[in-house]
Amino acid sequence: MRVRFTSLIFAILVLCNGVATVVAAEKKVVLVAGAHMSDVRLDHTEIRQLFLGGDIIKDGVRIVAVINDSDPLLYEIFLQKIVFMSARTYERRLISRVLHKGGQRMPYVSNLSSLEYGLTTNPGWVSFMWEQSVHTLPGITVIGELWHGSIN
Amino acid sequence: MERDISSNSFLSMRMVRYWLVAALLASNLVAIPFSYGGLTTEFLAFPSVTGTHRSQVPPVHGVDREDFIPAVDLFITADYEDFRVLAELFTEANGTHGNHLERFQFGWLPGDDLEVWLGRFHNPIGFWNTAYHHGGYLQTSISRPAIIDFEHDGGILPIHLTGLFVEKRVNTARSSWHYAFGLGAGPYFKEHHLEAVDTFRSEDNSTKLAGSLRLSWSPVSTVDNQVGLFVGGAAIPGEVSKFEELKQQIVGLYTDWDFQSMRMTGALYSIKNDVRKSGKRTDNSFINSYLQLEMPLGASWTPYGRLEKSMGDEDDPFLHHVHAFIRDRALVGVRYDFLHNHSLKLELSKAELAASHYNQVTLQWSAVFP
Repeated sequence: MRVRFTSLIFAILVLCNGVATVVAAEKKVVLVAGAHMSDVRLDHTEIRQLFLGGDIIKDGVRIVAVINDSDPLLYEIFLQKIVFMSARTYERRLISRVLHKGGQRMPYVSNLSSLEYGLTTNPGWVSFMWEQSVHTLPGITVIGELWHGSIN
Repeated sequence: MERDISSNSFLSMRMVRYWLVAALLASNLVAIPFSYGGLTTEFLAFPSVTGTHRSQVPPVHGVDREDFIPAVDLFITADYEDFRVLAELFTEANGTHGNHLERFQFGWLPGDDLEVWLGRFHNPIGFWNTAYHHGGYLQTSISRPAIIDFEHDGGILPIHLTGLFVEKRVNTARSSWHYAFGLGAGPYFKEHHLEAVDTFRSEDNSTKLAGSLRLSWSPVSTVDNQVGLFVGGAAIPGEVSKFEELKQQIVGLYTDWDFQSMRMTGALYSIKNDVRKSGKRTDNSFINSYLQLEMPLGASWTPYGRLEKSMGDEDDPFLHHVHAFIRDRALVGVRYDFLHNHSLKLELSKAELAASHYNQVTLQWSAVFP
């Protein structure tokens, strides 16, 4: 009886540990582009400027930031951990930037296949996605890591 | 002072209707950014409706005890290779502003964060003027600080210039430096207010040079937070009956900082007005400052407050000609954001002018499309 009770406790602990591992799984948000841009590297300053509407030119190509709006959780992580703004504040800043400097508003793409198509066919397009999503999109390459951490 | 309720206001109402129809058509045509053969365009429309009640009628032409002002700011921009053009047209009914092509700029953007513009632009004299332009939806408050008010609204500085405008950003490992330089034809003085050069209308009045230089710094970690310094100067032709010429020197500093739980925007202006009248010069220097605090509550509500204060301006030889200039003001307000890019704002203020004072309640709906 004593052995059974110990086994039960052990099984519960193993199960809890597994559940905790699943709940607090580490996730990565990566910066992605089409395979033709695999050599492009952007530092943290450039990435922040890019996603705040700034102009970045690399090797003669104007880099265009594209918002991946396919997953609400991913967009929330992007707002909280990368641009540090609420959605309304961020969108107002982007519009404000266009009103001041001209240029186009940042494209929002709401599904991954459209985003893959856009990244592979438009020179200069970069976006962000979960690292695990990249494995399902053969034309996409990772050009940087934006954030990693656990999501409870 | 009574407002002229005649064909002018009728015409401006009609103009607003025309522009609203044009805006709707344009937004349907170019709601999706247009791109063809290397040419790309973008369109924005900022409509607003503002209702105001004042405790008494200020001695300002075109301003009543109650105002109801529909307005729209239309913005269009196009890129072709390294070149860009942008235009901003503001039109309102019943107000002091009228219909104006507020900005019309041709730009060359060769990369490395350098922009060179020719045309009519907003003078980079402080923060506010180049942050929000005429897009009222973008600013948290309804009103602008009086020191940076547009020329028609009682502003005392050259807000619009026509000439050369250069902006350059330099990034280092830890921070970002931003330079802005503007030089061009400045405003002239007419009937109790400044009047900026109108790009497409013949001017009866001569204009002279005005310019400014602004330097700002942002930490890399929060690219949009900034502190800055600016200097500026202008020679402003007057009216013979008031004065022949005003020479204005401006020095100041500003900040716009978002602390997440609170945003702070403030500026300090030191202004020297040197007025020539009947061959005799009289000058005066004074200080004007404002500080605005905003505290977001959740995703939709933003209470805010602003204090504006002038010191040493009592005997200024220029200010007493500008009846609408607000010397001191205290205001509180709240902004409510709803739907997609719509806002309702309520603002209560107490304003001190040179010859009077009044309390004011203002309610505004504003938005941006598409």
